[in-house]
Amino acid sequence: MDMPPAMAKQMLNAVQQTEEVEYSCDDVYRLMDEYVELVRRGEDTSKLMPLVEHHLKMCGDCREEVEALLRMMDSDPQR
Amino acid sequence: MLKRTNEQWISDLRASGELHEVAIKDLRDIVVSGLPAALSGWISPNSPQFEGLAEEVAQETILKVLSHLDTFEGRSQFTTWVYKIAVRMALTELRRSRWKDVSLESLVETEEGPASPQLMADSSVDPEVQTMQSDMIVRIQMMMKEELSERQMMAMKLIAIHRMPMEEAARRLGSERNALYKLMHDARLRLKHRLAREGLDLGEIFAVFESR
Ligand SMILES: [Zn+2]
Repeated sequence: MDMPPAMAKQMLNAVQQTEEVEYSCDDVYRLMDEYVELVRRGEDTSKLMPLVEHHLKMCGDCREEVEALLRMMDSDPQR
Repeated sequence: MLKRTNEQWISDLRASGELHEVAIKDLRDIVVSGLPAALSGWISPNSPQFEGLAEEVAQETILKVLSHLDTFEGRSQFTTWVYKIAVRMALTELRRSRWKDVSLESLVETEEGPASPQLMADSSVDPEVQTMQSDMIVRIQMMMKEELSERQMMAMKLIAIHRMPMEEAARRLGSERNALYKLMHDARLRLKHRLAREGLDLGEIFAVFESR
């Protein structure tokens, strides 16, 4: 399969940030509610949930879900 | 609406009769009223599709909440857990509809042929630097071809080049999102290890691309 150069560059960026052990999307999903509550309380999530934080850098799908979740919580009049 | 503790939510949802009915109605209301904010940037609440989507997401969320009540560990507010379920439902649906008219074949066909390494090299730079850059690209491309499976290359192409969501790429490849993430992680790790074996430092590679 041919590989466009843009992919190589993007790939290198991702490779640079790759860790031996990473959380998968399921791991992150399990913790996502807890994670967003920490974010909203202004806690240091990079210290408290570094693996979740790292996954969110690598995974656009999970990042979108966290963003949507935070917007949803912000709009909740009971919070 | 009644503000419930986590325990009250659980017991009301497990109850029968009116307690149960009211809790379900409240659950539906909080999902439906939170969706416009959650989906801002995805779909406008004024769009003709919005109401149907919101209704469907609310229904599916309620079903999932009821069938997964045992798995709620109480580590967040109950409604945050419900929101998480609703968001996953909604975005899964929106991703699918956003990409539904794009066929894998069309993505593969519209791609330009084998991209020449010169394309990536910056033409405004010194010719000698340009040569260095294209040599580096050739080397990286070689490594990727040697290290990655066809499936890993395909997944990477869909996600990195075509910006396809992982969930959608997984669906197209007959897999699921979690497995695809692991496949991609494995691909990244292979490349990282290969670069290390070759004594190639990523900082140096980026420096080659940034030199003038
Ligand atoms: Zn993910």
